[in-house]
Amino acid sequence: MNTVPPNILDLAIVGRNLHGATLRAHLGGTATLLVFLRHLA
Amino acid sequence: MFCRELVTDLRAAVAADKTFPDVLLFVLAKPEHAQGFFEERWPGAAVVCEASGLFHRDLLGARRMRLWELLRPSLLRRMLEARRKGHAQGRPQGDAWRLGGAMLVQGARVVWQYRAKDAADHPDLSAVPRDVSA
Repeated sequence: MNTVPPNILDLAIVGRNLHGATLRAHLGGTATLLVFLRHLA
Repeated sequence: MFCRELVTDLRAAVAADKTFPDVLLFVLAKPEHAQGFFEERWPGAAVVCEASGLFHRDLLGARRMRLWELLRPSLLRRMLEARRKGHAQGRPQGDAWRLGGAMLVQGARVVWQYRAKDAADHPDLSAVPRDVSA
């Protein structure tokens, strides 16, 4: 995958310390490391 | 316990290296379940709670483990290693079979990505590109 699909960028996100209501809004143009954790335990 | 280990390592990497990129964590849990975990370990972390696993599956392409993968001796070794570092096993929240990974993005552009090979596999944080201006 070379780019994040627009439908993913525009998904609503919920959580903590987020800067926007969608992934696109949170990321802006800043380089960001997305880290996908396994289940919390 | 492996998620505790990774969050601890990430927080340390961010604190130690001013060039480390911003971090956005995705967790397979509802916000109310993630609250205690992050209040204790990294209150300032940006966290997306996605109990459905949609971002794990459709953005990263993380696969689900098979039962026999939990029986690998290498996994037992990594569990002992994580315990020695002080990370205990807590009560699981969310899809315990979905693997993790990481992806460096700038806007929509994917610069680098890593998919975990097993439950204990973490991205090498020293390999994360620092300069993505190209």
